[in-house]
Amino acid sequence: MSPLLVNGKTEKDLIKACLSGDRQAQRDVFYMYSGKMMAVCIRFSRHRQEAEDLLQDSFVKIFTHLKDFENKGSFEGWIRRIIVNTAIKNNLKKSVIAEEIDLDHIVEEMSVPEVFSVLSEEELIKLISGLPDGYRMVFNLFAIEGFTHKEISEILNIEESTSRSQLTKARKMLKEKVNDLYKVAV
Amino acid sequence: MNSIDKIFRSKLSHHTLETPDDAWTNIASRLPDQKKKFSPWWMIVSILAIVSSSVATFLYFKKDMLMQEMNSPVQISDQEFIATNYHEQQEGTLIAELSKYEPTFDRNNAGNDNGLKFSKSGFSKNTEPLILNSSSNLEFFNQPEKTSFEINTPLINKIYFRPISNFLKFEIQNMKGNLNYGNSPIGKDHSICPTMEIQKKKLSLELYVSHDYAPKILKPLSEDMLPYAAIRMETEKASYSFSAGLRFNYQLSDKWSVLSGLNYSQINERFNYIDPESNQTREITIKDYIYQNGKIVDSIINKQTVIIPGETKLSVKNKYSSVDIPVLGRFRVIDNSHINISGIAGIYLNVSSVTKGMAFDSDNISILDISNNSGIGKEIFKNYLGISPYIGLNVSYHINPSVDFFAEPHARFQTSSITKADYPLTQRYNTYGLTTGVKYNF
Repeated sequence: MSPLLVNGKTEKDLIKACLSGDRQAQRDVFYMYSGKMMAVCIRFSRHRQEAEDLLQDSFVKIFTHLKDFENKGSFEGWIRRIIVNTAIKNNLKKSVIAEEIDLDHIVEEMSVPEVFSVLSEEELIKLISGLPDGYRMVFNLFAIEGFTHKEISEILNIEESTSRSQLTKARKMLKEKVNDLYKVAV
Repeated sequence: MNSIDKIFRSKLSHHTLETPDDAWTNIASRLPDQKKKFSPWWMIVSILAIVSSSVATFLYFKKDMLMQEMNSPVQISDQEFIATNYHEQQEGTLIAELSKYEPTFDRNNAGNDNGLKFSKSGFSKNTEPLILNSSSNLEFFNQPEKTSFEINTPLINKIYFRPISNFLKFEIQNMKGNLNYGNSPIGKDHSICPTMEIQKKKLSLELYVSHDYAPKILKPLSEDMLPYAAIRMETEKASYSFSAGLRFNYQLSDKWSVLSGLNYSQINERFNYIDPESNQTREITIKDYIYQNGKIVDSIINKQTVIIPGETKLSVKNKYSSVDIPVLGRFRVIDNSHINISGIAGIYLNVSSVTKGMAFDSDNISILDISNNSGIGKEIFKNYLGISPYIGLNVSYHINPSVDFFAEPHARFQTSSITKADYPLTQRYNTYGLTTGVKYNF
């Protein structure tokens, strides 16, 4: 935890002030993490407006449930977890993942287009945003947030195999999109 | 994790983006109101503040009183005069009714070895013993005979001038000598501490703050408004309320006095609701697969647009404040040198009433601005509430002759609705509270 963060207040001071409803402290916390969290939100959303809604919903939850933060892990990690959970909840509301997968037709590994490594962050986000909801969710959780397929299956209430197949399809679709965009052979 | 995952993670896990300018404003508007710096402890703090200020006042006046005792004559005029003999409490109480007298006590010329004289002109330096004769209208309690007393005043070694409550009290302590009733000694070689009390002027000023609880009474004017009344009761909860003010007390007699002044009351409530504007329109995609021989051959995609009910909980503080003129009567039940207990009853005449906040409208969906100085609330809530009966029990502790501390549990009842006649509900409040304050006796 950083010893000194905003206006001479440590993160612990800010949390304490937020718990007492100090609006200034809440504002400081929001601006400390909003940039990083906006990037998380946009990965879980189809477009910017949806990401902005997700960010706002999440921070309202963060401040209203701050008393549940037990100082055991990092505050940033806790905030990120709430963002991800809110994104998952929203995703479950807006779409139904009801998909049967024929694993026989899935090719697990494909060659990695070199172009991925030269794409900018914005371009990568754009690629993720273009994925169907289910693919995007699983790809984000597995590839970037570091969840296991078992965890994903529990969170999204799907089979572990479905999680694996969604991830594989997501990767495939990303490659195809890059291929289409940059005319690079897969 | 494959190489694509690694690229995405390395580039995006610490990526940051600009947030929209109005994001924080939107979030802040959805957060609960900022907690007040005051906690429930403030009630205790306010009581402590009153007590400490009372003590400070006492000390100030005590100092002032001592200075007065040492340096200046005390003029007491046109007052009731009561003398009490506490001698071993077995000879009864000695009462002197000297209401026509105008005693004067001059510290500079009295209280030394030469003794005191009590006369129509008061206490003064005199070589003669203090003589109380029949012209002083001295009477034994329960023995209303005129009599005379002779007290060997040179043996008095201490004289206290100690004003208390509504009285100025003279105590003569450690008086050695003979106090006779006729030819019978009633106090010989005893410590006799006769006390004389003079009732003071009868006007006082009270400053107070009251900690109130004010439950709401909502009554629908027709049966079909019962659900609306229920929704309002459910969404609007009473919170800490208070009142404060000042009032003058004028004593009409030993037992009765009247009070009037100015009172400010604020009834607070918390209106909690789910923002109906927070409903979200979502598109649901359902994919049905068509199987043939256990294999997927086709799929049908159905898209539906649904409205997901809002979940945004909002909380608004509703305030019902009023300014009133209390017109009250007080009857003293117990009144001694330390404590006064009296019953208080009367009415509060409303001067103005202001409402502020929000509530559900009678359609049970939209939100209503109940501020009666603007918007639609102006057409619903009154600006003048008429009279409300008040009843209380006042317990005062005499800190010094000029200052009392008092506590007053009380109840106040609104007789008429704060809403206008065409509103489908009547809305009233009964207030129960504990007033604490200080009283300054002029």
